[in-house]
Amino acid sequence: MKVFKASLLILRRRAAQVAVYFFMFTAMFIIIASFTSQQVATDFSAVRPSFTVVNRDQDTPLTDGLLEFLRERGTERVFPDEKKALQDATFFHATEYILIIPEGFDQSVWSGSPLSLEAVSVPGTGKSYYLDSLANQYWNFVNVYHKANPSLSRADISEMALEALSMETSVEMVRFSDSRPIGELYESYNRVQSYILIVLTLLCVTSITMSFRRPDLHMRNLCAPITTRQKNLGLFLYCALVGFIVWLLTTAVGFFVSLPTLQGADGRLVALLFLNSFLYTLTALSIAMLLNYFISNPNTQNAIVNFLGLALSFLGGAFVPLEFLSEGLRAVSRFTPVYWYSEAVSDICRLTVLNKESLAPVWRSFAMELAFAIAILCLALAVGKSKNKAEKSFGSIRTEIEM
Amino acid sequence: MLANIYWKRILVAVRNRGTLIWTWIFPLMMATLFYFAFSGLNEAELLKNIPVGIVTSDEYKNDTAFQTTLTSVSDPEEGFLSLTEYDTEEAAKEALKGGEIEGFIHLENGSPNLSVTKNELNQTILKSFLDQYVQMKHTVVSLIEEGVADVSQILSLFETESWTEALSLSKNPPSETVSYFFALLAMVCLYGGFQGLDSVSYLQANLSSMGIRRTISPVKRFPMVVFDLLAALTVHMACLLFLLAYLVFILDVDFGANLLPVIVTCLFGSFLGLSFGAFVTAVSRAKEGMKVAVIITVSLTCSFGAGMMVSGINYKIAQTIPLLSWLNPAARISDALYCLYYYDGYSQYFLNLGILAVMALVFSIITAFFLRRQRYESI
Repeated sequence: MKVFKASLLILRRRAAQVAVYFFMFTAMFIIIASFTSQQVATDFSAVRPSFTVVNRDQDTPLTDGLLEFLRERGTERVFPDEKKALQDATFFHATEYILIIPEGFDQSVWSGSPLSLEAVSVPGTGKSYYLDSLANQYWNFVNVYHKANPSLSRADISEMALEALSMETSVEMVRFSDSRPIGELYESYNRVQSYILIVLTLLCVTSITMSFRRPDLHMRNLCAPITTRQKNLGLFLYCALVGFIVWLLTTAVGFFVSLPTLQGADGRLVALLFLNSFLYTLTALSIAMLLNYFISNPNTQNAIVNFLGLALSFLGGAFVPLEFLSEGLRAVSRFTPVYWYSEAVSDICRLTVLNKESLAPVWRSFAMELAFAIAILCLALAVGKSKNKAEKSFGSIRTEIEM
Repeated sequence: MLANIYWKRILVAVRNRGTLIWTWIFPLMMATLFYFAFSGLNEAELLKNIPVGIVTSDEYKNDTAFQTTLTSVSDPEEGFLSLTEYDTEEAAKEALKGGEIEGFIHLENGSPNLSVTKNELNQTILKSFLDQYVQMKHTVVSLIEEGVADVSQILSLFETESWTEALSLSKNPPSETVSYFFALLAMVCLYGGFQGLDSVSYLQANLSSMGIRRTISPVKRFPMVVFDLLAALTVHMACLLFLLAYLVFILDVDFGANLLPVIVTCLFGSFLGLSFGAFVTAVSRAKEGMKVAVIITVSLTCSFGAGMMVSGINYKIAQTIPLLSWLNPAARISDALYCLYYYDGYSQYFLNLGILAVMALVFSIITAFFLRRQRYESI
């Protein structure tokens, strides 16, 4: 227990460093949460992409009708008719589609030779296609009713077009279970949690193992009246405790921040997500055990931890969903544990029914995570055995001496 | 003597493996990772063919108008649907459950019904397509019933070409990928903090033995500090130029037509990073590990706010908490690069540079206050 207690003491002295990371991650998540949809719908509700209408012509019943129609199907974002504001909105997807009504457009429609409307969007995207088709649809109906009944006023034409456009197809939301699905917020937290888990676990574990591998301490411990087994047991207990606390803290933060979106969700799905992150913590612990043999000072520790954390997270779909990665990269990412973690998160959040078939991909991902944990641990033990045999095991490990 | 200080400091910086890892190797690795990870990002939101099922009931087989409409939008080249036929509703439901299709259509009393499991864009587009069909059918029938026009006339009215034409507002297309690289460059600029940390550690007698030696050396303090920091800035700029060359010439990242203002932005960003690192080291008596953690954490948090991990978060922060965005140095660097890439004018670009310069000066002045006229009772 001496080693275990010493490990805790070292961690306590480095608590500030770990706390800085923890609070930074929590702050990041809260910022992400504040920008993420917290709605979980059980009935079908169409996606409402954001649009902007810039009317450089006069307000008429026809343009009012267009706005009414688009507002029913999209989310209006108002921006000043300034190039810079519209540029920013397009670049950062603050609005998916900007429709500019040119001066004289209303009169041109009425006279039968309509001017073109200007549409600003990221070309070829699904959202811009959808909104463009809505705008075209409205003006088509206006045109049809105007040509069929030229004597009708603009207000009547607009009303008739809107009435025709109000007809909708019935949509059945097929549910294969009674519970609500996991919300977008909790799903995105679970993805990002892989990054938080790996960084915190690696930091907590390597900080301590690095200290014990300092040549003076290592030699001192070799002649101390404790066996190698006792020392390793102390370190193992410390790793297990730290892994559990890191998992518990990160899981609790995500769970409580996302709690409003989890009302009515199937508890078994949440439990599966807990199990998933726990298994990933085991993998992170194995990686930490392996890395500890390659870290010689706090600077390389921070660099390796951050690079590995970010690299694995980007490759495994923690920040950018896997479907956005190229085919080649996705093939490479299958050889990382984060890939299987992210796959499990996606599979669990999309589970509509819990049975042997639907759970099979989840169990496969869990098995892969566990296999990674065991394989990396075996590698760590082999590397450890080889390094401890060599004279270079007393190499230059540099840590700040804690007084 | 001062040239000697300058040159020796460059040698020290180049031989410092820890700083080399952070400022040279780490950014190159991240850039390579971003390049591969985001290569498909711009195509991710493009509309692809939506897999949809149709239940081939007797009603469907008899409705030639609907069959023609579906066939017209299922063209592999120009259509947006990828249609699969199912004999029964149960078979279609199984396919839906297995995720083979995004939804399925079945006709009931002459109207199409859509069954889906998700509320996503593809389902919305499917519904909108069916809505259009129902609306047109209803309008044609009602106009014929009213005796307003004959069928061919009405159908010709619907055949208007698109009412809209695409307009581009800027010289370069919007790109999600490029904004990640802007934030990465911003992060590396802030990593100049490591050079600032080293410089002040080598100058302060209470921080290193080198500092003790230099404090008693017969060189005036001010030029010694200035040349030391200048050498640190030179090394960091060399690192940024190397990274920029890698991004532009190897990874083919588009920073706009003119690279000179990009380099100027990097210079201002490096100066800010350097002065920030010097500030953290000078004002605090914490251990080196803690100072490194503070520099990394602040740099990463600021880079997060500049959109390095979640694209567009910088814009959302700028819209909701503008003050936070203006005070975030990484966001200013990233925004300056964005201005060069996307805007025609330079006014906001210069505003960003001005803010960076003011921040750097504030950090430098506070650092100078801590570095001047120090006396140590004991070290």
